[in-house]
Amino acid sequence: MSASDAAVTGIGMVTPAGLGREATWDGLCEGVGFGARDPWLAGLPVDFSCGAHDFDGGALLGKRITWRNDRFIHLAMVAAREAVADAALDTDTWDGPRVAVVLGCASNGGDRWDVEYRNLAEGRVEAISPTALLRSLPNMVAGEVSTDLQALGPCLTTSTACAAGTTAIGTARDLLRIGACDIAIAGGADCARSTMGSAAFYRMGALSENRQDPAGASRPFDADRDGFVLSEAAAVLVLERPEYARARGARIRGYVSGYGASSDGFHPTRPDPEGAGARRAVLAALADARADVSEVHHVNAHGTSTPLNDRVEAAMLSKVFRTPPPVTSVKGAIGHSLGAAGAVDAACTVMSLERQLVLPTANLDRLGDGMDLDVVTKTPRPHRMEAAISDSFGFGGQNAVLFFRAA
Amino acid sequence: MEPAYDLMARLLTEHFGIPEEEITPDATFEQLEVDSLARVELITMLEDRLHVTLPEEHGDATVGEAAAYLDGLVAGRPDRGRAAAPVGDQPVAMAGPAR
Repeated sequence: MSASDAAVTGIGMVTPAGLGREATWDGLCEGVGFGARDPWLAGLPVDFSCGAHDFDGGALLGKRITWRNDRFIHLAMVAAREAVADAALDTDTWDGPRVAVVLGCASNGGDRWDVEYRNLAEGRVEAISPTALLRSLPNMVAGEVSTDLQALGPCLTTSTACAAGTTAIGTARDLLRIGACDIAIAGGADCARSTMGSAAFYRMGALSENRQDPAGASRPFDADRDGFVLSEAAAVLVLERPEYARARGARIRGYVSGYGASSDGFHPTRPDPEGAGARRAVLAALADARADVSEVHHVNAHGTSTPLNDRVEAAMLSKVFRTPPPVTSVKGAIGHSLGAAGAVDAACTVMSLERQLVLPTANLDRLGDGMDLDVVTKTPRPHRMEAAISDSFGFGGQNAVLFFRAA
Repeated sequence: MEPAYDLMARLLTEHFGIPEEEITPDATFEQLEVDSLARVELITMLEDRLHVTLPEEHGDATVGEAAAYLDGLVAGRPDRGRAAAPVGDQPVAMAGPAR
């Protein structure tokens, strides 16, 4: 641990694998997929998703404060409350202006616009909700969480597509490092299983079309992968300056010790086939952590289950780590939650370091051709780990990587 | 058709999460913490369900007064199947946002 690390003192999650941090962990340990036919997407070419179907934001938070928000904000609020409670912080007494909120979001509440566009097309401008923007502006996720928690320091939303959650945690670590805050509420939230999202990603050719087996459709690194499965989730970490956390006697779950970001500068959706941008981000995170590749004992991979991303990521990891450490992708179980994905991966990485257990990659039966990786599958694997990385790659060629150390 | 008061009370509970026990004919929208955005949303929902058009005027009134005004509008509507302009010059009880 160095003075520039950020201590992770709290974790909150809502994912298709479970409502809450422990439920999600237990669900992921089962090594099975949570994809299912989705009534929201009925009639679309891809009509399945990984949804947090048991999640009811109004019931959990009270409609009085949730009626004006869309689901992705509800997910974030619940995860943030869990993370703060896990950190044993009291929002009534904390020094609000010294608490930052940094959350990633890529697609926000896409379904809101389906409704409002219909109203507009019918000439019913008066029927458009006055809260349409509040419900769906990406920055409202951080704004509403900050209001809910009375976290009154810097309040940011990062938008680096599927790397947004990772970018948020890295940015929050930087805010702590420069002394802009003592505590940062950092993570990501997205409700990516929207009708427009499903239709648009389908047209792009990014989605799995395995309608016969939604639970087996997301297959990171598997030879039969054919695209990702849209998902919804939120994950939030409480980060603190280590000396601040120690002074208040907080339990420290792990440390964010490095953050690296880069851009491919190559193509809107396709990764650089050489993986050069991704590699630079990994190396930047290692350099930031003053760590050698040999110190990385586990990789929580982006692993979307698309043919191209997984191939390039596998090649990149093989190149960076001559003997790649155990790799996993939780997207096999819970699909791709876009702006939340990196935050979910980060939360899982910290929990893996704590428990010395690598999560399995669901639906991985046979590694894709040419992949020289040790991908954990079927069941969790006990593994001695002192540090791990979590990597995320977003459309637009935006890459972000976090380096975590065990407490 | 559902009386305006019952409809309004149902929307306030189901959509805006205001506890049933707080909603009484004498309660003002301000007391119920129905802010300006919520008032516009409520007006939109009432218009959709009652097929009337409501002005978004300032002021505060009770739920009971607003319901009576709405019932009057619905009763005076020449064609109940179509939207009608508001009648009379009394202010609608649910004030819209300051503009």
